Amino acid sequence: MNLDLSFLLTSEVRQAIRLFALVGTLLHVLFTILLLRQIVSSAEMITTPGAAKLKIVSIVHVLLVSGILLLIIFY
Amino acid sequence: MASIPTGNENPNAAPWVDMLSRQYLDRVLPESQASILGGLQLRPKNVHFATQNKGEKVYILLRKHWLTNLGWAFNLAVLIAIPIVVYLVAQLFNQDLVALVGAKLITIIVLTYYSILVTYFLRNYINWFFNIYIVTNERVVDYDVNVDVSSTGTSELELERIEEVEQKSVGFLPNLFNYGSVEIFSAADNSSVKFADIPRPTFVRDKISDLAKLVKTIGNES
Repeated sequence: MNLDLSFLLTSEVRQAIRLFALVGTLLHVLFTILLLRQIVSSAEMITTPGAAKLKIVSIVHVLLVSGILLLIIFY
Repeated sequence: MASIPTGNENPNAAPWVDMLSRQYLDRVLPESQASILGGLQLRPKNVHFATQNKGEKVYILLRKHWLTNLGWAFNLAVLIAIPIVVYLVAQLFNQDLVALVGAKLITIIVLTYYSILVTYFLRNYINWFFNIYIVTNERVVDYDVNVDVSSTGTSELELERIEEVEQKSVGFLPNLFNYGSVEIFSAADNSSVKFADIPRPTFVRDKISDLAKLVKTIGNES
């Protein structure tokens, strides 16, 4: 049995993948910012041990996803 | 509104009332303790909330049982494994995906995919972490957070208004791992606050009933 994946070599498919990744990551950045906003407002509403750590993790995540977006833009 | 003395208020109350209720409180909630993953915390430290009154102390902090996260955790594990399975299947058919698609594009796809999974984890963890139930010396509070629709909600019931506390554990897993729901009903109206899927529901129901009784006793005596 043979699996033919040669269609992945075409530039149209590569462009489509890149465009899909670009739009997806753009929406993803927006969602992670909303997530961070939700954490900040929830932490203001109720302070528990671990909430500050969660905030830091979320900030790092927003930066990472933004980095991926830049990587796709300048690819 | 009556509340359980915390040691720094009510200078006009009879001293024996304060002493008695503090002794009783020590019997109701003997010491600070926390269960696995913070599902149940007695007399938790460093816990504050926005609408906390002066002198109001948090006695019990509850989150849903850790087992309620099993559904999304399983989905996450499957989603993590998918790229590895795809890679292995391609290898099985002698296809080199890196050579076909290109190292750069593969890196972008993998990074995008796994960052989405991190977001999926964070979203579910936040939903669990900030859905908190609190019992203070004045009231019970239920904080609801839903990240998907960016919504937050709060419902509360004063301890002295509590008429009945009901507990339910339905199903195989809740009975095996000792978690379930506790519903607290008000005497004045038909309002209620529900603590869903909390660990040790019998213990929590008992403590809330005892605290409500204690508050009512203090309200009558002072």
